[in-house]
Amino acid sequence: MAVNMISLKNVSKIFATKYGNVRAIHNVNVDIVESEIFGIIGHSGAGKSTLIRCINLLEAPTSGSVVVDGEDMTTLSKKALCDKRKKIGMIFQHFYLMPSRTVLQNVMLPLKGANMPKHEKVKKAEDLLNLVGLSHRVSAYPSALSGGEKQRVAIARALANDPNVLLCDEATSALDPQTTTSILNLLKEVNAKLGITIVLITHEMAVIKEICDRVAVMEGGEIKELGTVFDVFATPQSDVGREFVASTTSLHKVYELIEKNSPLTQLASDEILVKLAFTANNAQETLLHDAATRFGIKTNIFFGNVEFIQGKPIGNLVVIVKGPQENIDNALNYLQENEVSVKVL
Amino acid sequence: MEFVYNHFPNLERSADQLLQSLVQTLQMVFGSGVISFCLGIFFGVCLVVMRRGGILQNIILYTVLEKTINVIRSVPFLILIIILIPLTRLIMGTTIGVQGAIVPLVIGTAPFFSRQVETAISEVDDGLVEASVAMGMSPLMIIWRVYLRESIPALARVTQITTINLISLVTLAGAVGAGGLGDFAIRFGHMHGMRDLMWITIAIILVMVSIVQGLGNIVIKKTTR
Ligand SMILES: Nc1ncnc2c1ncn2[C@@H]1O[C@H](COP(=O)(O)OP(=O)(O)OP(=O)(O)O)[C@@H](O)[C@H]1O
Ligand SMILES: [Mg+2]
Repeated sequence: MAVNMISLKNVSKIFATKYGNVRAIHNVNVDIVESEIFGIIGHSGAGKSTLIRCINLLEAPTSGSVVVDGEDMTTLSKKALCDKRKKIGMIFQHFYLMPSRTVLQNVMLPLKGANMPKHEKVKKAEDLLNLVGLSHRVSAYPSALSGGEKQRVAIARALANDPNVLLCDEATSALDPQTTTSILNLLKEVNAKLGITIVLITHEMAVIKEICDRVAVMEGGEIKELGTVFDVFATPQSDVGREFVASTTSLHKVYELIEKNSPLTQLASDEILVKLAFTANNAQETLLHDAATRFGIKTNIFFGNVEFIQGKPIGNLVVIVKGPQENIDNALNYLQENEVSVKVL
Repeated sequence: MEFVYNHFPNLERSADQLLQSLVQTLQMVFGSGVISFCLGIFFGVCLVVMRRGGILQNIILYTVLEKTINVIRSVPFLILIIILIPLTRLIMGTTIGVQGAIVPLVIGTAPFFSRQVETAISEVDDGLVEASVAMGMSPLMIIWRVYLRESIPALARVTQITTINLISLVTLAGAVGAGGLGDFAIRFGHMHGMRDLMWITIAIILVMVSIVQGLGNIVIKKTTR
């Protein structure tokens, strides 16, 4: 039975500024399940950071409730809130390691004041640095580390108090693609080993695709759609969702060509351009071949792309279909009956 | 020694007074320095944590503190000494000598230093503070383990500047009855026309300033990462 680790109910956040009120978050409802990796994607200014900061109350919501691991964050006393935050780790785009402390001291920092003998704290920090693969850099200062190494230290530090939740605000946005992948793999490993719930913010669909179980797409302070990463990729429901999905393939380039009336997309009178989306159950090209032979039409693949999301394939084809109108209609119907989503462009 | 007395003919006669003046100056610099340092750190931290968006935001206290500091800071030191006479007498029981100088020196230094501390501490990246809040640190811990700790080099730099400034205020106070090297330079070097003693005073102050510079630079070098 899936247990909710984080539950946001009707959360809104309004910032009062000199120039009037800014509605950063509007009526957000999300339940994030224990041990899942939950992604939040949106453009700049969508309210992602504000939302994630509402989870550990770095930002107090204007209204609504924030329940983490069974406790309503908004009702805690100051002292209780500090203790609670120790159980919610957080990492940032710019790492925020303490420059005057060594790697080991940085990881030990959250343990200050914990009821634990010094040597155990050292041991704990060393184990964590081992986990993130940095046991050879314990006595280095942050200024001597690469971006990827800094984020690893930050992850170790965030895990020091054995939190149930790890919040990641654009944790890979300052890193190159290769380092991004290695950090995402580390997060996956941490999630699998420790069963920690991860909430991850990004504006890159590739990150969501790589690591998340479920994703929420945000725009204008609201969640526009929410679902498993596979579903959102296969059948995005919102305009922003579609846009983000399109951005990960070259599909948007095809649309651009069409919009610009490129010679490549000029069609003869008996031709039409269709986009076919295949999902896990039917991602095979034979369907298209079947349709062509059965209904006497010709197909010419203009663009094709297959991706594996959460281990399942999703295919997108843009095809020029040639033949008598009636035959084309029949063929498209046949494809639709086989759960291929068909869109005439 | 022979050489020194040849070039500074008046030194032998006045060596005792000079030594006494030096001790007085050191007493004033140390006494008011230590007090001003503590007050400055305290109020500097207050300014940073109580301002809008600070970890202990308190706009009213912040505004009061800020305005008070600005007002005191804009009063010239000589005038400050005079208007503080009743307060000095109340606290110290006298308005002259080392004891009488401490109160105006502190009040002339601490506001300036508070502002410097504020600037130094403000250099700490807001992100570090945010990360510390997210870590579950209390405001006091953040002040101690993040704000102060991370700005040690900057604090050393402003302490250097303030101390050198203080040395010059102490010398100035000598002109109005505080004793010390300023008083010595005026009485012997100027009024008795003993130029050599004037040069010696300057040399001693130069050495003091150099020591402050040197110590500060060592701290800065050792703590900058
Ligand atoms: N402290 C604040 N005061 C006033 N407005 C704010 C504040 N923080 C955020 N906002 C506003 O709230 C909105 C959402 O900001 P937020 O930082 O959550 O966006 P984001 O999705 O994280 O964007 P980015 O990808 O650029 O980080 C923006 O319009 C922003 O200007
Ligand atoms: Mg953000």
